[in-house]
Amino acid sequence: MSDATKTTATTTTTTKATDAASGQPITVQIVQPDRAAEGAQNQLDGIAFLEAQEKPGVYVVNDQKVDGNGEPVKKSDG
Amino acid sequence: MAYGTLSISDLQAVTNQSIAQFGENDTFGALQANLDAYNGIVREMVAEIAEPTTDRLRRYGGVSRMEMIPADEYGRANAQKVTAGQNIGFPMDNYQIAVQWTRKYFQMHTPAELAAQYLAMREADSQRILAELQRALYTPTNRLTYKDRFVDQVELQVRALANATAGDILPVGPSGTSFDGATHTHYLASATLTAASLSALITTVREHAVTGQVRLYISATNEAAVRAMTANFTAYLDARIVPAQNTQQATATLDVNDATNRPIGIYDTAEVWVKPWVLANYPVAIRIGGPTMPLVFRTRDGGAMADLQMVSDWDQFPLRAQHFEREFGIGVFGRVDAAVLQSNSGTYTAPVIA
Repeated sequence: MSDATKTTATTTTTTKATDAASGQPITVQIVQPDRAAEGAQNQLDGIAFLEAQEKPGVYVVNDQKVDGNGEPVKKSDG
Repeated sequence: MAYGTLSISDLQAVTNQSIAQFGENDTFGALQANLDAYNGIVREMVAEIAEPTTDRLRRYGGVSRMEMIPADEYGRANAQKVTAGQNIGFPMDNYQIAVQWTRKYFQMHTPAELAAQYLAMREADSQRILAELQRALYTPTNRLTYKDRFVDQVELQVRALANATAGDILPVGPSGTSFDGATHTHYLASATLTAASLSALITTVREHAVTGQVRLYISATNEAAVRAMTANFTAYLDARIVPAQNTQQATATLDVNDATNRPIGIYDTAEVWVKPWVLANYPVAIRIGGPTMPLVFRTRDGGAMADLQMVSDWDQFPLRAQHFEREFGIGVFGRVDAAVLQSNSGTYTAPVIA
């Protein structure tokens, strides 16, 4: 889902209550961004993000690229 | 007759007497009482994420899967084996601080000034523990030749959290999922702090066990950004605010006083805590109450020097000095029980820790 879609997605919720004086139902319309769908999409994006991170680890320590054992990484490796 | 315990506040109140007049025994009695209370508080606070231990070497990981093979009446399955984990060692170092006075200082200065020196020294100890805790969590590289120089010079394999290193053996997940130690990392990196990357950070820890709860620890610097992620985040409300009736709410109450050490809401399934030891742009997810703890707080076998304590009271006129020491080390044990996200870089860069 693109960012543009996220901001425009909306849910319309209708809530009914009773007016104390007249006893007539009151209809309230609430329009809000579709948070649940956006949150679920973020979780899916998160899993895709995690999969992208799964590879032999390359980290920067003291301005040098190293592997998990602290050994310098060869240029061909990463 | 007045009853009560001498405390630092009593000393700070004594500003018009010199130590010589007030009495050295009273002065040091109060400092010792405060030191005992302080050591108790430190133990309790560290125990939230670091298990106190005197072990220096344990076995971690392993129990990968075998497979049941269908066989007929005359069948005989081939033998199978699993890799039985790998060694993981915990560091231990010695940290020392000294304060020194002249004899004249005792004659001329007040207990309040001595108490101030003592409090500054105690603060240095807290900062050292925090720094070692940060170093253990945030350093992505193993130290496979760490020498246990305060015991017997044996080399220990001190390891980081799961860091995608060839040969690493990680425990299987709760549904029998196996994780490839050579590619599975708990040091994530994202160029910007996105909702997806925070969700991924929590999932990284959650997928490894079914007990305990995952907490997301963030720095106060990132609080506003996390609060803005309203699709995933539900804030705890100030108790004085009446919430709207038609919005989703988290039920706990927001602590409005301590802005750098409090839970602020729920993100996906994790409670979000602002903590003073979390570095800006390096949020951390930690499993609390799981089968293993992410860190261990190692002290010497037998318990000696586990607390901050005075090791020498050196009186060589006209000088007088006191040395305090604490021996400890913080190392990773539950390599999959915590994960770190650097949220301002595409490659995980080890932060500089003082």
